[in-house]
Amino acid sequence: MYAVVEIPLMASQALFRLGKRTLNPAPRAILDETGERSFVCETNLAATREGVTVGMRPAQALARCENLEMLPRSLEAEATVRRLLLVLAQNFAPRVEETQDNLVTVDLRGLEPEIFETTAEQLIERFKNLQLGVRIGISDTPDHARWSAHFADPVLQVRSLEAFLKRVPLSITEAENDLIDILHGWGITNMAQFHALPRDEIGHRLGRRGLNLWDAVAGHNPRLLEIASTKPRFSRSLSLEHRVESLDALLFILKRFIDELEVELSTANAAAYILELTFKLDNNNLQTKRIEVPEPSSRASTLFRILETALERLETKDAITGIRLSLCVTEARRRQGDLFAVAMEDAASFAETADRIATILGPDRSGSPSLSDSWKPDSFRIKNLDTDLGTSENPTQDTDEASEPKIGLPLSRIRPPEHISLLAKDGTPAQITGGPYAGEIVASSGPYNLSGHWWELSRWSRVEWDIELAQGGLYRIYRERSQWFMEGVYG
Amino acid sequence: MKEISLNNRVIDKTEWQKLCSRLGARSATEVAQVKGPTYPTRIPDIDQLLGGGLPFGALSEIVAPKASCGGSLVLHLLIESTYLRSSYAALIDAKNSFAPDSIRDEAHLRHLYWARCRNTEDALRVCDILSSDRNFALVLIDLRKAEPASLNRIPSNRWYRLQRAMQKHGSTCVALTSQASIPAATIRLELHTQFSLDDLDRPSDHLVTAIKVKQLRGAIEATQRLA
Repeated sequence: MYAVVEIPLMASQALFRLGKRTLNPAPRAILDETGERSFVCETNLAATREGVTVGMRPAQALARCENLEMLPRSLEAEATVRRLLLVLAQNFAPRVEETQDNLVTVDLRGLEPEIFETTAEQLIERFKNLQLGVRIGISDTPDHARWSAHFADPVLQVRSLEAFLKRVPLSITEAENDLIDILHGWGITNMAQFHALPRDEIGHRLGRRGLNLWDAVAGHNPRLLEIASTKPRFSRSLSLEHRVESLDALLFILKRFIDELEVELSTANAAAYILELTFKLDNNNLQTKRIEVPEPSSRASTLFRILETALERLETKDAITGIRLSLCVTEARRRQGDLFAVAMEDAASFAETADRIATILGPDRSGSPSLSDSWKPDSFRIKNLDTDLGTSENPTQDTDEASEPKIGLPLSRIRPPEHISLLAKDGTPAQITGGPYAGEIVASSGPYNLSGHWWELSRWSRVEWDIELAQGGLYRIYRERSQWFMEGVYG
Repeated sequence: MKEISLNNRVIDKTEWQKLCSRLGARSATEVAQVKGPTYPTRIPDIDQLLGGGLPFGALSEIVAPKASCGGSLVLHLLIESTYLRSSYAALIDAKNSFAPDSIRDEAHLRHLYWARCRNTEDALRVCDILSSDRNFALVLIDLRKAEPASLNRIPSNRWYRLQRAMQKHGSTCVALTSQASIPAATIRLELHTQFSLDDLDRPSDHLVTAIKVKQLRGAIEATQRLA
């Protein structure tokens, strides 16, 4: 079995992806202006109805249809679409032939027939995400598959060849026009009628060309595919016609890049760990930004959010006239779920979450706390939260109970500690005078002398007290260099 | 049948019939057998009051109206309970007051993501981001030291949006406040304990049993949660 994936009106679709025009049913023609003289290379249905055909000069086309919209084709955009077509088709099955610019043939041999249509629908959905409409025909020979793609909406699998051939006009075959004219002269308009003719008689009257067409219709001797080989390309670039001065416009282009690169990543089973953006500025200088992806990912949504977050802080000295996005990739990590392992469900999404939070709070203000090897109060470090703690971190009630019991209430700190005015009686704190904590101290516990790092310049020394105020509340206060500070509230 | 007691709350015949209809149950035994998922806090008074723990996929508010009424202890116990469930917890600390050195076991910190905010606005922005991340079974927002004026300025739709996000991901969100401030809270509890200086020398396991709470909101919702 074979499948043919076709992008109808490819030149138009390639332009629409660039956001240059919106899809509308008005007569439209795409002009090829690459040669000495421009001509119409693609028309939509409305333009065809008005008599505009491929190959016409612009003046001829306008003479047929005065409200015809004419757009110049973009070879760069079409090349991108061609590449996407080939790479995405390789996700369907590995043996793919680039049959025409807008059409690839996929060898489905080896796949279960039951999944053909489901897989085709998934493929169509992926194309839809890339703002591309495709149609897919599935049949037992490459030629039948190509013809069925022409009638697909959006998927057509040929189950009855006889019934299908009745629908196929001779004009969609690759036969020369004079041959088709002869057959029309015989009163033959569709493939079923042609197939009903004896093969030998066709050979006598039409020669080798007629026999080839008959064999193609009958499905005899299907041709061999010329398998295309592709190397993954993990970069995209674009020269801009108009200078980009706003983030929205930049993000629009980058979103398209990322969507295209996701296809390359999934085909190559790779994940990006560095995104490198190069901007060409209006003053011809280049500006490069390297963004690390905390958890290598191949998901477009994750990579785009990382880019979006990083670009919020970007400032360029001039307007942007060209963009290049390159990915450094590594092998995609696939993890088997483990019932007893402690790991995040979606580590890639957390990496992006952590990055966004770090943008808001600044460095060292978010992450996983860990205690420092010091007796100095409030000594801790912030490190990245480990998204995979493995099975060794799996806690049990027993180990928890076996650990040394903790005494007292946790402290809620005041950072930085607040200076307080305090009256002492017989060396014991008696009253806080003024401020939000003003009040009589009804009970106290202390003094607790603490000191450390005496061998260094950063040596510290303090006297701590735990106090209870008359209005309620347990607090930790301390004296350092003859001044009293409120360190926190217990409870 | 005139009155029925459910979750320490007496409900009348009409309410009972509504509840049975929602649960598709015909008797008290059948109602008792229907049980929704809960997030055990390991605080006896709270778990008993709420029939097992805090509801999943909901925003709960715990009000700590006074200093040293057990707010920090509840916070630490919730972090510990996440560790025991082998899940991850996020703590959005509006005034950067969490003390890692007060935790009962350093291992509990390895499951904790701590966002040290400078003000309430930062805390809410972080909260918005974390609410769309489904990696955290528990999201804690410590607003106890936030200025009441800044809390009152938060439009209620922001809280409702957070509640919807939690519902979507099935995470449990607990906000600790010093006064009732969250209109979208499904459950609102108020801490009624007052610890004294002597309690600083007692094992914290004993202090956990001393925590007393009063349910200010969510009595009906608590029964509905059974559905």
